[in-house]
Amino acid sequence: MSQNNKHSNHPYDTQTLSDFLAGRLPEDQAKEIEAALEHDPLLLAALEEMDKSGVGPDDLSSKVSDFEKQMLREVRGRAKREKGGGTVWIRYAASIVLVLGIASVLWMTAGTDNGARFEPYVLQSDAMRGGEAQEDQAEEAFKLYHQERYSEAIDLFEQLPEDHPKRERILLLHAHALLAEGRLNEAKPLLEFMLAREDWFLYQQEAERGMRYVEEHSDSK
Amino acid sequence: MRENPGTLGDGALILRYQKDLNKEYVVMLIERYSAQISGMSFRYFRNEDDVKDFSSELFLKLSDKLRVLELREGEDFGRWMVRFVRNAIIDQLRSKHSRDRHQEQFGLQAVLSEEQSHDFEADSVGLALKQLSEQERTCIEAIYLQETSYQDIMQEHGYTFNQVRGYRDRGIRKLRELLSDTNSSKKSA
Repeated sequence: MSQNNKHSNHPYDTQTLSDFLAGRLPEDQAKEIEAALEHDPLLLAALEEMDKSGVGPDDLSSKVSDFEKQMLREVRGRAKREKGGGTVWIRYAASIVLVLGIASVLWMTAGTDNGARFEPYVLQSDAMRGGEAQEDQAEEAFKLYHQERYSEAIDLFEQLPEDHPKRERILLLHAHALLAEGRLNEAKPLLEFMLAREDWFLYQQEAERGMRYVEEHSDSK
Repeated sequence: MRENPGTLGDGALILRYQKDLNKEYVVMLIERYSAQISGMSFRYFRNEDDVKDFSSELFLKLSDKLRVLELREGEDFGRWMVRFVRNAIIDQLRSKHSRDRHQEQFGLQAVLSEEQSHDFEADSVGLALKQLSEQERTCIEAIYLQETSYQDIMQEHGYTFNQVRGYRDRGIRKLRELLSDTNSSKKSA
């Protein structure tokens, strides 16, 4: 057990969690974790993400443990620096980041209206269905997108909740509608988020195509 | 005798921090939950710079949030932390260019790579899904199509964590077989 997890309520380290997922724990320990999962949402979330990572059981522990070590090193270092009067430095750094951020936004905005027009993903009409009341807004947005009324569709996409069951499709269409409208800098974070999701697969190729367009048309200026 | 803050509960540590603003308490909380935070985050940040940026942001944001956090009687700090870490991951991903972070694909994605056509839902995957058992289909659809968390599936269907994984794994295995049959018959046709 690692030094860092000796608090009585949270006795699991990365090795134990990996062994649990790999089915390598003795039965009594596995049962203990199963029971803890019933009332420990943080433990459940960690195991779920580890399980979905696609990393094999032999590598999982070392990958999570490497992350943990690096994270703790960074956090401790950061705390130490702040203790040593780092706040003035941080203020300067924040100003620099702010200036760079504004400059990059200006630069990206300047690069939005050049080159070939983006061809958005073609939404099949059979992908739109009448739905329950809470789905109406999403269906309406899909319809507007299908009719190439991108600007109106974007307004609706922006209002949809983040936990919408069709979030993957919504994000893709939202991003492509933004690209079609030449709003590359707004589409980019949506596409980045999609591409970072290893458990999403339906629209990854289309997200990649969108990202390529962003890169090509942001760099060319 | 001097009290060891390491023995304090989460709520007491937060109160100490709010009183003294000593960031060592924040470090202690992160250390306490480091395995869980790492488990939740590691797959999104694979290179050293990304982990550094994320860890640094996590620490700064947590330091800010904890200054004003008020846990109500009986409120679960773990649940709050899940939301906090998820939001920190999303914020970090949004602020960074992350195309290189999706190289290791989850097994099903590779299996289905040829099935990503526009009419996916009405195509062979949809048909193959219908051939799974109810539990397998429920888990596959919930996890991959509706993006439901394991916790929600467990609550809604009364499955345990390992049952959810078992149904998912069996469902994926069957889908692999069914889809490879479909693909070979398409090729031979």
